[in-house]
Amino acid sequence: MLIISMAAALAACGGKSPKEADSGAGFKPSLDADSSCRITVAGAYDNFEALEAEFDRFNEIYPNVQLSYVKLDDYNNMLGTVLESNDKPNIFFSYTWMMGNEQYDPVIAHMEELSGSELGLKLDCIRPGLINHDTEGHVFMVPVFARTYGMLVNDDLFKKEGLSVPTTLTELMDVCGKFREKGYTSPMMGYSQDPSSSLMNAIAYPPVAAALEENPDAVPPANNLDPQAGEYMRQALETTKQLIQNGCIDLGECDKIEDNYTQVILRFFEGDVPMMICTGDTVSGTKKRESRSEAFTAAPFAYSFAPIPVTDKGGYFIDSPWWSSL
Amino acid sequence: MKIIWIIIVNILIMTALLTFVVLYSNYSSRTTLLRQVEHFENTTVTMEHVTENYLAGEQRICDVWARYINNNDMTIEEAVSFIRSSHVLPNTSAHIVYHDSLSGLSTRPKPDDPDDHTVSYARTDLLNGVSWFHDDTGKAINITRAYTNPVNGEQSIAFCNDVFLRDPQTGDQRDATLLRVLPLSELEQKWIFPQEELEKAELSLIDEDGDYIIKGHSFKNSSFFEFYRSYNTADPASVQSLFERITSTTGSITMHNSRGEDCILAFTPVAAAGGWTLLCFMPMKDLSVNTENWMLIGFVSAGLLILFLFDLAVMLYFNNRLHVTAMEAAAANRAKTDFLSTMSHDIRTPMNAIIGLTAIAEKNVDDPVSVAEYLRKISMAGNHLLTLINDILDISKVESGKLNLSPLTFSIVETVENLVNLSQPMIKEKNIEFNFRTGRMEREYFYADQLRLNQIYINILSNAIKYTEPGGRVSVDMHEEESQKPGCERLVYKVSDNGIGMSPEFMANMYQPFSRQTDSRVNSIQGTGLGLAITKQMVDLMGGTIECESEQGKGTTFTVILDLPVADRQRDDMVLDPMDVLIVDDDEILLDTAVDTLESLGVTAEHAGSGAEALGMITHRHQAGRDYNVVILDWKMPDLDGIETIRKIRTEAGSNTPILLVSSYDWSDIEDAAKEAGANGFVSKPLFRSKLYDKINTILGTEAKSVEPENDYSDLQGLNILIAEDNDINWEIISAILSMFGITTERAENGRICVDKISQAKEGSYTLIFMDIQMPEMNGLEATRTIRALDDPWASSIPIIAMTADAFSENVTECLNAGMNGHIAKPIDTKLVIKEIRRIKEENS
Repeated sequence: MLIISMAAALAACGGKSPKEADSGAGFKPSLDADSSCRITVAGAYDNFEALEAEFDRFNEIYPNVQLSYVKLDDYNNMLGTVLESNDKPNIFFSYTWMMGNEQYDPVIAHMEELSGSELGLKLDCIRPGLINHDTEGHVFMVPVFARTYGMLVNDDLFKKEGLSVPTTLTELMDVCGKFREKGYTSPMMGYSQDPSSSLMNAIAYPPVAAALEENPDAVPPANNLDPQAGEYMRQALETTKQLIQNGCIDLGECDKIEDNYTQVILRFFEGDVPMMICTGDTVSGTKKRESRSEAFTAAPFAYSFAPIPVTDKGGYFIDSPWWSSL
Repeated sequence: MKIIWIIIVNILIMTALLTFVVLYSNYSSRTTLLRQVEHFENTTVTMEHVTENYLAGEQRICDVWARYINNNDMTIEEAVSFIRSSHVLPNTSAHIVYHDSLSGLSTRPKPDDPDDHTVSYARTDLLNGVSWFHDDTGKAINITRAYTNPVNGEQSIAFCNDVFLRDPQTGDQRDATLLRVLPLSELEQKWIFPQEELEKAELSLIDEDGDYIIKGHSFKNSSFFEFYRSYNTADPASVQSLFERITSTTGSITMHNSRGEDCILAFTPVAAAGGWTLLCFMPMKDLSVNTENWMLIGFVSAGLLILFLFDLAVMLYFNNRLHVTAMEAAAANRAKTDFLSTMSHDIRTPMNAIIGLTAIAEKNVDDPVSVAEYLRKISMAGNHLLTLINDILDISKVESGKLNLSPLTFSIVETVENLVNLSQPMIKEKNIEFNFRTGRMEREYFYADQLRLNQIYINILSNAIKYTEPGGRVSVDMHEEESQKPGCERLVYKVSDNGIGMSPEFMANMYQPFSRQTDSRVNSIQGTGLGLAITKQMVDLMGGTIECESEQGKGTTFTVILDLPVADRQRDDMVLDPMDVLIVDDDEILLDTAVDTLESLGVTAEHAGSGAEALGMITHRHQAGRDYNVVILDWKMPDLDGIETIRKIRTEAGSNTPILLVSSYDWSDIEDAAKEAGANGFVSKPLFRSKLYDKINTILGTEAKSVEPENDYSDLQGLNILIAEDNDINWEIISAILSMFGITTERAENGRICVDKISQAKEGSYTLIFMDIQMPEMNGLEATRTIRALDDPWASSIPIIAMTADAFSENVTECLNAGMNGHIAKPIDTKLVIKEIRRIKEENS
């Protein structure tokens, strides 16, 4: 059961599809493919399509394993209680900040040590930088996906208006001005209602992380929420403010978007938004939703995902993993 | 019909049958599927009733609690205490949560603190506005979505009611929500499909927006509508229409699940919970019953294929047989055409000679010599025509399987004499060196079909003579061997020649009718090409073998081996008085066998290989006063021939020893010269035991001379023969022939007249009767039977010889069975007629 659970967690390793892996020389199911069990994965997401897609891929190899995803209410507070209940999941989302936090000690106590030889998991298929070790070198969590921040770009719209996708902040400002001149009220849009997943976060977080990366001395005060560390956020926040003040982003329009996933995508598919600020997991749901949009069905267009150019050097790509534990 | 068309028609029929089976099977599958879908829908509706009853039941409990609380002005502690005391289910609990603070008390404590009954829904968006509450206590069902129980962390659902509590501090009324909380697992246990065939079906409960209230594991996303859109392609308008249908009616649709499999989704509104829909979801493959149908199709296909292949094999088999039969029929047709063509040619050729020579003879009637020559040639052509007709009749009987054997007791000696006599003219004409040797011949009489045996021997010998060029050599060897068949002796008849021989190609087909060796030297040879075919058939019929060795230009050897039954009658008392016999021949083999034969007769035999040697031996004996009693001398010997040797014996040796001159040839030409030289008698080869016995006795005067008079027919004078013959010409011919021998004849025009005449005749009026068979009024067979039945002993025993064109052996048998004494075939052979008359005459005397 445990092994199957881990196999489920690591099913995406290697980048090959199960069929490719199955037919290739490298991958062979380590367990009997007829193994039968139920595995519950608990998380905080309402809609975790990417994970459910992985469930289907996993079932191509182990068809008799019933995988289900459960969204827990008030995840961060309830996780410890849920893990103690009769309804505890087999796999659950975990976060690096849980490590060392006394509140989550009961949660940590439920985590399996994944690097143990008795499990035989091949963790070397994961980029070493993404594997989180505790102070004693134990591995209690593995990444299930990496969050990236950027913007969906309507390539056809840029082409139509004779503009190029910006790669620097100056170009971005310039492009936004030109779009406004052409009647686009908000050349950039995004979800704005929830601060933790708002467009501001998507714009500001990468440069803040970059600033901390460039100034390692700032990391400890930042982790300690020392006000001095707030200085490293200044440039990012001012850039965000500048984008709003210059009319690149019309917050009034953005506030009409009801959630940071489906509605973001459907709004982008209306076809009048040159750049939609979002995260990579939102982008993963675009393909399925093309048919849901009457506007996109009537007038499909080419689109792509690009970093937001928040400096004159360009934009930042953040490799921000999400974790799961057993 | 060509085979390809038959195959095409078969394939079309098979295809039609298979199409029917497939269509019917599909129709049956569809019907079954529709029934199952209907059953699935009905089961979903049933599950909705079950669910509704369950939900209603749980809701009613919650309603009762709420009414009680509301009617009794309770504080939150009192309410919780009341509920705690009133429900006993271990897995359920109740929460009362103030609207304003979204916190309250639980009937069960937190797992990690038995004294802590507080509960908070502040961080759960479940109660952030309870617009979904139906303020109709006792009728509506207020149920939450599945959520995480904030007290114990279990995924749960809750049935809700508004309650009004008294604040213990202020005494004011505070609005709160009463939640009767049930673990989701509790509901899942009750949500199991009753039927085994639907065990893979999953249930979900959705609200009017498609969001899951309760979610089966195969249902993806957080909303069913999202799930549908994610894995099924459709335009937004039709999707919207579909969603409206799902949430408002009962029915089913097919859709893809997240794995792309075809699934069936049955849906029905939950009546008690406004806007909710129960969904039942299952892969189509678990509902379908196609397996059996494909097995049916597979079996039918295999059966049809086997049937087709079997039919094809049988058809090919019969087709091959038909082909072979058609080939044979075509060959037979060609053979018939060839036969007619050959017959036309072979009959017209002698007929041409007969008609042409007759015309010439008529114009030269004054020239007796020419007429005689023409008549001789006409006779030859006639004989050939007769042979041809006999052969044709024989081969037709052979081919129709009607050739039967008519066994009689006969003398092999007579058969061989006849054989030699018949072949003499050709031997003489072609000046062929002929030799007939007999080896061991213990038996003289056999019981077999003499006529057919004659035919076999004559055919082979005449072929040898025919296909040997003038001056060539033909030799016959005959001897007996022991037979494996009881009561039989094996007779080996071997004819060798140094004639033209046969090619291997011809030999492969030489027993086929009308096969004649084509050779510039033999094209002029007359023959029907039927002889070997008939011979082979007759040998086969008699259970014998015929073998042939031949080489072109060197000659041919035919060997016929027959196992013939030995007749009861044998000449066992053939022993001569002791005497010395000298036999002279240049053929050493003949000498050996002749010496053996002579010694078996009880004499002392010496032999000499030449005339000169014989002369020396005879002289020596004569001078010693011990003359040989008999000298048997071959005519044709090198250096000194038989006649010259006789002359020297008589003149130089002065011996008067009786001398028998032996020849394989017709000795009539040398008779005078031989007698003049001093020969005392003649004997023809082969030298059978009985023949030597008779001849030696004759020459020594110890037995009455048995040699028939050659040209003396005085014994026939005065005979009167009754001839029953309806045909005037035949009557004229036979009467004329007989009159030449001084025999008088009377005619009876049919069998009836013949019977009348013999009945009225005085005893001795007729010597015998020649009886035609096919006659009007009464045929010859019936007439014979009638005569044999007469009271007059003379009349009833008068010899009757059949004289008929019914010449087959079975006709002969038929005649003998009717009571006749002999059979002469038309056209008549004068010699044979005279021989038969003499035989009858002798028997009567």
